[in-house]
Amino acid sequence: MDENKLIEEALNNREAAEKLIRLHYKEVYRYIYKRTFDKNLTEDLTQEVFLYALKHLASFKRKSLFIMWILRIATSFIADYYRKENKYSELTEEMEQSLSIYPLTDDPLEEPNAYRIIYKHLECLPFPYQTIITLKFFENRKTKEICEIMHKTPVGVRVTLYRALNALKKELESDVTDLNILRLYYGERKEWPAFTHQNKGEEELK
Amino acid sequence: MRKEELLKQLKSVKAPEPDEETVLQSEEELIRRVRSSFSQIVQERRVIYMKNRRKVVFATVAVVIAAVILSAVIVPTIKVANAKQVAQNVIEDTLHLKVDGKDITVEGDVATAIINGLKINVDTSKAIIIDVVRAESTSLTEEEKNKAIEIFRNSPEVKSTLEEQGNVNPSNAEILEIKGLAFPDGRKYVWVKVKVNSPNGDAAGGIVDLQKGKASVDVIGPSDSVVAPGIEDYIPEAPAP
Repeated sequence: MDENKLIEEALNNREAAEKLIRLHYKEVYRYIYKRTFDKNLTEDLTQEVFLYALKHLASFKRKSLFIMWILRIATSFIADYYRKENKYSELTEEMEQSLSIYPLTDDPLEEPNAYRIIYKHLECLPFPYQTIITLKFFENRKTKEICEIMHKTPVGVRVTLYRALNALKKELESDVTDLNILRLYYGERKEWPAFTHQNKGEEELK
Repeated sequence: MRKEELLKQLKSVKAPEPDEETVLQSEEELIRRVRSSFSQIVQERRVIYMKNRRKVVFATVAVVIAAVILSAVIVPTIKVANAKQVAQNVIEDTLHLKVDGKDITVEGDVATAIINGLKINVDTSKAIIIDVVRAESTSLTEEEKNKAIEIFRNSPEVKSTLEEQGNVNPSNAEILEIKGLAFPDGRKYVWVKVKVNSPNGDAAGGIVDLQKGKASVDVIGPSDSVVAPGIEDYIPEAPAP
């Protein structure tokens, strides 16, 4: 069934609403999980996001895809959560456990460790930087999709991403141990690059 | 490591995914919640819709009220400024008197100017002078008289007029008459008449504003014609039919 028709029906039809939820639940859950690293919190936020979306379904203008609208709501809910709980740069016990990188697992090249190191430092960045790096690199979203989710213009997305990468690089460089682990992971021992206006990585975005 | 390698690292790092079972459990939990409260969700949506509509109505009303208030403030200000300008022009054209905008008050279509001891009422809608009201005599204390004479003698304007046209130095000119005038604006002015040696006459008269400390010479002529300002000195021209 056409998604717009499903949305129209979901306004008053419970089965259609359920169908809509089943269609997008996983995607939203995964996105929130990547931003929170906490199963309980992810579950609560995802459910709240969908309930909010169902209550405000009439205001969905169909200018973007439904999933983009939901992900935008999810981004707002995550931001609200961190703002209300004042949890910027502050890891909960569960997150600490799930992010535990010391001591390293038997296999230092095990995939999740690299993400955990990056996530730990990503958490210290301003919220829009966390969002844009997650969407770009861990959700593999296109610039157009990021624009819709973050409610930004393509130029705004490029600028934010450029600043976010600089901030992340600086943050990673401040922790020599983590930096060495990442270098070990990639088998590199050279210096991290200096970001300049000439090599701001915009080509990568294009 | 080159800058591309940071991007390469970020691109190649895979975020750990939550296990499928957990996601499904969570999804079923939400479905259960939606099943049990769908009618409530629909009801809430209607309430939200009504609230939003009310907000739009309130916002529209607020904008309209703001516009009304603004126009109520701005339009009269513009009207007053225009009326003052009309009054200035009429007084200057008819009576050949220059009047400052701050000396004019506006009430409806009538602008009132206080100048040289005269209260001039102007109908700004028709651009004509309604009437010119003369000030009334009032008594002066000795202190007021002395202050008025001092202001008159030391006024640069009086000095230049009397020296050029009256051939007399105001600092030692003989005072012929000093008279208090209560003008319609509530201020007290002083009429000062001094002896001069002019081809036009032997007396000059002027007004001293005690509050502002200013003085001016209004008329030079024969002693009996130099009198305190009055309506007979400023007869407005009859309005055009």
